[in-house]
Amino acid sequence: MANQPPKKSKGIKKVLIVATLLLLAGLLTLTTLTRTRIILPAEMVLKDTNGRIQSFLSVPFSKLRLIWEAYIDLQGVKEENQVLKAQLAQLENEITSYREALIENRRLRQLLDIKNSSNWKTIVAQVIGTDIAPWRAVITIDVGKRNGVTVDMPVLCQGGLLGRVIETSISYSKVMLLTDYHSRIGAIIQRNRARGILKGDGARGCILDYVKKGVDIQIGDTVITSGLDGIFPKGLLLGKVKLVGPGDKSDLFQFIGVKPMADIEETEEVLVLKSPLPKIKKK
Amino acid sequence: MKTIAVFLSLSYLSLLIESTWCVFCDLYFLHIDPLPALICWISLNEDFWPGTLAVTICGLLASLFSCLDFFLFPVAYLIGFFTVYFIRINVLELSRLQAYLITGFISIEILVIQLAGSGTPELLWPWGIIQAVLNFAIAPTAFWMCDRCLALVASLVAKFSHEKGN
Repeated sequence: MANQPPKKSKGIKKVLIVATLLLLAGLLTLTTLTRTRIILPAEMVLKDTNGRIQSFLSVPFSKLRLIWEAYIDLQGVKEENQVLKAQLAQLENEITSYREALIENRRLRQLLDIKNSSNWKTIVAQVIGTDIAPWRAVITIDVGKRNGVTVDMPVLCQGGLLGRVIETSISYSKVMLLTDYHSRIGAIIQRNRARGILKGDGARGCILDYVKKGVDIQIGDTVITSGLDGIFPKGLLLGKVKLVGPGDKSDLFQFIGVKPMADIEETEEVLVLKSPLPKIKKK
Repeated sequence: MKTIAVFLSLSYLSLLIESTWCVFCDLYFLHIDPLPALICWISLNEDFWPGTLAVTICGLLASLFSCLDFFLFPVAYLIGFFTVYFIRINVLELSRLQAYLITGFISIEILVIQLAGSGTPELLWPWGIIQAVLNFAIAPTAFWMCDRCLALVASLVAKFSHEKGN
């Protein structure tokens, strides 16, 4: 190296070592104290400043990706067109059956006197950044306290549930995705109402845990929120079962791999659900 | 002072790019992170107290871009800084290649602290090790960038002071 190592006397070295240890001990203490993540006003202001710069920087990256995607899309457009036509015919049939289900649903809702969930207020937000720790599936969105966003609000995207708000500053919020290691969501299998807890696997998928062995789970089954966690409303689409295994002999539960319906890598716009959970009116 | 200015500017820039770019680039648990290399560079080029201060500020800045515990980044980065600093003053004068290797090793140190602190220590194998190898690979570029920036800042300061003298 061009630089010469500094010559330090033994006394100075001892002072430096003691200072180092004291500093680290102090910081470690602060780390344990701040586990509750109380956001200081200064931190909030700095986060907002960073958010503005991130919003500015995310535009060219977004444009570049659009150009690349347009090129990729052109490659298989003919094949895709045929597939889409077939899907359209299938979907038309499905829509007819859904209309029937909707009419039936409305009737049942009136019967049960449950508030219609489609009346919920939502906020549209842009994804502007991600967490610098790549093992955390956390994104930053451009709405915050100013827009009425609070911690634990559910966040949706085109496919289904994306995650929940875990931190808010004035104009920006952090959203923990359902694929995050620390994400836990109460879930049920739509077909047979089998309950479980959907955990993130830290990468791109999820695991439906605590479903007993012997419960009939099939690949392709739809997983929805159960509403039992008190955070997410019931019936939001989570994903499809992609893998079912018996697990180890000693395990009490099945191993169920779930592919999230939300397009986590491609999402640019999200929807934050503002209104509280629907409650059954007391008569 | 120039070293600290270069270090903090490049750190902040890399944090901004990392946090924005990673949205559109999925590499599972890996990311291109020049910060361990920058920490290694400042440990080799700066004195104890100014270096400690700069690395602490860098750690606090990094905390703003993450949902991990607020002081986890400063602690992890400072341990990396102290390791290289004490090697530098006590053991040997490092060659460039040795400095790159040490970047890889302190990356493991930093990742151990961050992964354990965020409740996911099981990711260290194999992802943490692969990340450390990746950090070793990008260290020459990061060092080159720091040296060029430092030379640029030094020439600008010299030019400015020369003009002022005239």
